[in-house]
Amino acid sequence: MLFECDQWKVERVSPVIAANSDAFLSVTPTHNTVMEEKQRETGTGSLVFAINGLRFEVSSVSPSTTLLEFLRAQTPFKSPKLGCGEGGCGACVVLLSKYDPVLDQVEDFTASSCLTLLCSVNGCSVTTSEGLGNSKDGFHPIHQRFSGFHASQCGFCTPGMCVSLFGALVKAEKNDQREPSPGFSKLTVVEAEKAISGNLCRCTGYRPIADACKSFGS
Amino acid sequence: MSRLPVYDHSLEISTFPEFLKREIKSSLLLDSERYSWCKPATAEELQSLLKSIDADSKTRMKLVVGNTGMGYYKELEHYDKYIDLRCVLELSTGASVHILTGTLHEKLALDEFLERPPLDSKSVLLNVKIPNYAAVKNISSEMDSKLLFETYRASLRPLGNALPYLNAAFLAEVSCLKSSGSVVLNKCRVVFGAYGTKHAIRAKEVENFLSGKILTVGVLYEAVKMVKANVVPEDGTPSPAYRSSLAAGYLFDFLFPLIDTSSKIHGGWSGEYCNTSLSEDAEIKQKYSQLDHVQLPTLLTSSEQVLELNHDHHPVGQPIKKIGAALQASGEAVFVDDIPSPTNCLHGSFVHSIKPFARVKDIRFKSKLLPDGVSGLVSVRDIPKGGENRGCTTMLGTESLFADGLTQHAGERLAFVVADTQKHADIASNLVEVDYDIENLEPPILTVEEAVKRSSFFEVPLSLYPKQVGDISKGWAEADHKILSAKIKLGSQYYFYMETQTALAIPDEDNTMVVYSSNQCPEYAHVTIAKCLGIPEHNVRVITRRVGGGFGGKAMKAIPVATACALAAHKFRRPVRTYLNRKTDMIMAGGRHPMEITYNVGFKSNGKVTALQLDILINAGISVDISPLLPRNILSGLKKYDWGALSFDIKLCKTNHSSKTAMRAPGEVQGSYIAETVIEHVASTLSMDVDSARNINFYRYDSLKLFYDVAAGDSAEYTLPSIWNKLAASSSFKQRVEIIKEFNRCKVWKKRGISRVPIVHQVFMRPTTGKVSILSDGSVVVEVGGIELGQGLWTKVKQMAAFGLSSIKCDGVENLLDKVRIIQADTLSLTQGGITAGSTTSESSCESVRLCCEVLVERLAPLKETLQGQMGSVRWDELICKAYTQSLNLSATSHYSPDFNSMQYLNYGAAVSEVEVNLLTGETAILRSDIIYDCGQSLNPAVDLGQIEGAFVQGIGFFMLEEYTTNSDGLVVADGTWTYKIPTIDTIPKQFNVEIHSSGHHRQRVLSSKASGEPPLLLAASVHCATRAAVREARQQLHSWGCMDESYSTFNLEVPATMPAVKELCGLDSVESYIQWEMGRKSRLG
Repeated sequence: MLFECDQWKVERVSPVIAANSDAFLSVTPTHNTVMEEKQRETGTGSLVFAINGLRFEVSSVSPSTTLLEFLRAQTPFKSPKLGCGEGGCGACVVLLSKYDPVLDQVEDFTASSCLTLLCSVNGCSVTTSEGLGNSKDGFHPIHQRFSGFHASQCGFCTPGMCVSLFGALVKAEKNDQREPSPGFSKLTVVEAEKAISGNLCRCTGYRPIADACKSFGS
Repeated sequence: MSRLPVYDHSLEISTFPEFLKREIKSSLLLDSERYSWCKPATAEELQSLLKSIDADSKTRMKLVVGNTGMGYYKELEHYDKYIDLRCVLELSTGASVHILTGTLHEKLALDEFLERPPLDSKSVLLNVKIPNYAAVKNISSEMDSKLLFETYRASLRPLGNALPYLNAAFLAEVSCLKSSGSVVLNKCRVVFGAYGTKHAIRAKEVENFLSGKILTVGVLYEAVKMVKANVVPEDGTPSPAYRSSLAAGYLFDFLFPLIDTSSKIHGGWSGEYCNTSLSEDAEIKQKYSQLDHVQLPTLLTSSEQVLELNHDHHPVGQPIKKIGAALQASGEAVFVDDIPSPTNCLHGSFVHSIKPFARVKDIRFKSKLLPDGVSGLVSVRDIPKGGENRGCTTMLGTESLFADGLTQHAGERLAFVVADTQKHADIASNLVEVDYDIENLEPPILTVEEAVKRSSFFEVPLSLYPKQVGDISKGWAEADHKILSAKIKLGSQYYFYMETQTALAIPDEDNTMVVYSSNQCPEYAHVTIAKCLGIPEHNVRVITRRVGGGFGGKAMKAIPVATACALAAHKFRRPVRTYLNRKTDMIMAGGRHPMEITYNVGFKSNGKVTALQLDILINAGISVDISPLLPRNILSGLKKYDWGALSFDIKLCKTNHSSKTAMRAPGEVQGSYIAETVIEHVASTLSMDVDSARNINFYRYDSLKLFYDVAAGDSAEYTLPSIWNKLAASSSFKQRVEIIKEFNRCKVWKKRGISRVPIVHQVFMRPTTGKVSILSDGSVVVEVGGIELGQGLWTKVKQMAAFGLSSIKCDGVENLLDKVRIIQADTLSLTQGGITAGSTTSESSCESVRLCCEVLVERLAPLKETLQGQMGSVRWDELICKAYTQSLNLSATSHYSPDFNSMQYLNYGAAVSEVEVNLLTGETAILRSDIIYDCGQSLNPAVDLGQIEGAFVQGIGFFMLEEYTTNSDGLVVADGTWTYKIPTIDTIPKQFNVEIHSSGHHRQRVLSSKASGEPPLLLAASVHCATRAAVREARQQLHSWGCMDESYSTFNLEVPATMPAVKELCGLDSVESYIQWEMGRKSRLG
């Protein structure tokens, strides 16, 4: 059930799936026709957001729906996992990005998708671990290093860990004060390790995860 | 470094697509009617919204800011309207202090605000103004004064993500009396919160008392006493005395360094904030350092992994990456709940009992109509004709799927609500009403004592009951000293697998059922489902690809989950899946066996134990599960020392608690800990060094043989003494013992402890099946009975398949590793898979695969010889291609069944841990742990390293953090991440060094390898023992202050050694004791 289109050609439309047409949710595929562009300019009042670069327009939804429920039930992006449902484990962490059109700036932050209501991501961009990279487009260096450092055992917490680290990387890269040495990021070792302090892992004992994170730090 | 996958941030992905930027520029407003989602931009708009909702009393609304609308107060109710507050201008400007209460604007002082009842659901705290102290400063600037400010927080995790026991903040304006050098506290603020009150408080009595006073120890003493009287948690708050003593400790920590300081507080400082601990002033700094204000790093700072590669059985022994690790990282790996729902799929949620022993008269929904989306309830009445009420099958007994008229423990499955979504099912299961009736029923058995009184036991088959060792009466006769009737109490532990219990059942044609289950023993689930549905076993297929963490919890406890889905699927003739919410999972999981131990020990004056006698009462819960294995396991861990003679009576108590089951190192971890407690007790009785007491009770090989019989193996295999000595050297044990002595002599409020602990852990190999098939292109597919739980079983099996087939010795076999794929366990494709447990499944799965490969190589060998004769050399793919044309059978199945003499063996390891205890808070930081563990010749040292580290940290959880508490009815109350704390990155050792000891050839083992899954968990006792050592130092200090009698060195440190437990032993009144002692000393000095 993977998308046909290239995930990073962001202008492409989302052939949204609704395999189990849950009564409380209906998602309609959208097409980038000229007419729609026009409609959009005038504003249709629809809930619109991006997941991993793909456009999603949700015509109606129960306002109590969380972002995690939507991701897991209505999209093929199942890397965010339900671990606790109360923001205490980090397995559902995604990157949320907001755009300020006046300043032309993007603000990125990680969020527990189990606590984020779907309507609140209107106009936002959501990035999950699949969005960082995948087997088709090539894995992200974070994925490769988690694998290389043996930092994933059962693998259930790993996508959340990866996104938490990615969030810290993105944030650090925006810091103009720092200049990284080639091959490193602007992230410090301590920041890299702290990035996953809210993520639980029951298998590894964290040491290899800390090493994978710190490998990005300078 | 050069081998790292490249990271170049300029190639980083864009987090915000351009199309969405364009759309935002042309405005993206949500239709508030359509989505019932309003987003007011000003407080005025918000007010009018609230007004309109007020007018319509039927509308239920909820305010949302980011996450707080959900928070950890989970939402299970329906609301008509959501109001998103993030755009309300006034919320971010900070211009004034505002509360919007309904339609009223209010301004309040913070403490006035806190004293009011909580705001109702329609009130909004618009903003809080934090004053700039300089602006309100009204003291005379002529005096040289200085502002000090400090905050404190006591919580289980230094980096947060945990609720505190208490928060404190102190602000003080101090000046120095030039004449005497003493410090005057001009004014101060003393604030405490989160200690079990409705709101934070200002301790005004303390503030008034302290204001204007010259700080002396006497003044501080009064203030501390006053704080204790002021900071009193409400009834029902856990550890109230601990919280009060924290408040006292923090105030002491803040003020004590200021007493008697002769330092001059220079004018240059006045008016400045000092928002970290006291800054530049050298003398004050020194004072603080006496108070041990040296910040420890909160995170892992260094680690070292030492391993030896073994190339004898290439590629076995190589530290290759775990299969699918990158897929797991990107999230493409498919877990059971990631399988897309089939059409018409239903979702289930369990209804569980909240009574320990009661008749269940009725189970029904509160309303007449079925709740939203609900299809119905599945209960014992839905068991089909010919089926039975079976939820679990073990080798030792069975368990029912649902309570049948009578519930026998809180948390028992009563019914399964089935609905169109998981959310609807979960909400509906909370709407179920159950009528209980306890009339004329006996009271439940909730303690092991009660079980003994009522003779409520499970029988342990004789073959499983361990044997007594030596002549106990002779042992007693040899003893110079005796300790009698000492007691230990050990609690439970929850698995906290990240993936909760889950299954998906799909009915298929001709009364068959396919069940995807996250399960350590699909074979047992298979049998159970067939029994429950009353269908032949060949009608059931259980499929398990990967398990998101097992630790024993996905063995017996996963079976009823899979069975309930199958039963519901059978009833509704539709696919049914479930993914348990964390709370339900924690309530139903059972967990590790709690137990109570009473021991008598006899020993010589040199510390050598001559006799050990134990009475152990194990709380097994309501059903037998695998509990009869516990006595044997406990003894396996306990026998790590030579006890001279050993006798024991172990009873398996049947109680009205959820059934306890295996959790990683079940019994062994308790046994190993009991052994350490006995040794510690002996040492403290003799006032001897514990490490020496351990040494003197070490085995010689002949005594090892006496205690462990055939499991002891050859004398060369007894590597523990060499590991023990090697570890002392690699961890600089002796030097650090001296450094710690010096540290403890100098520091008053921090104490360190170090401990070296050995382990012996017996494991048993069990039969399992493997199947290896070679496809026409030369690729290889492998099935094994063992389940990939994250422990790297597939990776080792893959290596073994490549090794096994490479013995055909044709060209290209060196690349066989890339040609092997391990596929999911399927109970019809591969029968007799067995159970993945007990640390040995990786090696037995490997062995069954090796046997398959032998068969295949034997079949291929003649052809290979022929081809080689014809062509000089032959490539693997050519060989296979030819074999296909000749119709060779290229699929082999083997069932590996170990014989009695090789099925059991011992594992050895040792650990040194050093901890630092904060005597003011009871906080324990693990400074360093060094581990050496014998893996034989590791099948994959990277995988085994992961097992060692992971098990050790899980053990830290058991010994230091995790409290799996229940209420008085036995219902689990630690039911989420907020109440149950597993280790996080800030609670593991700051330095973590692991060496895999490679011990050469082991004749009876699978390619000389040994197990690594469970035994290293036992090593975490070293952290507990080190904590004990630090606590003993603290108590000795109390003794030196005259506050504790000679019995200071005899104490019982609980498991887990939580902050309150440690603090209690270090003295809840230690601050007062110290001040009194200090005052006494001063007066003595005149």
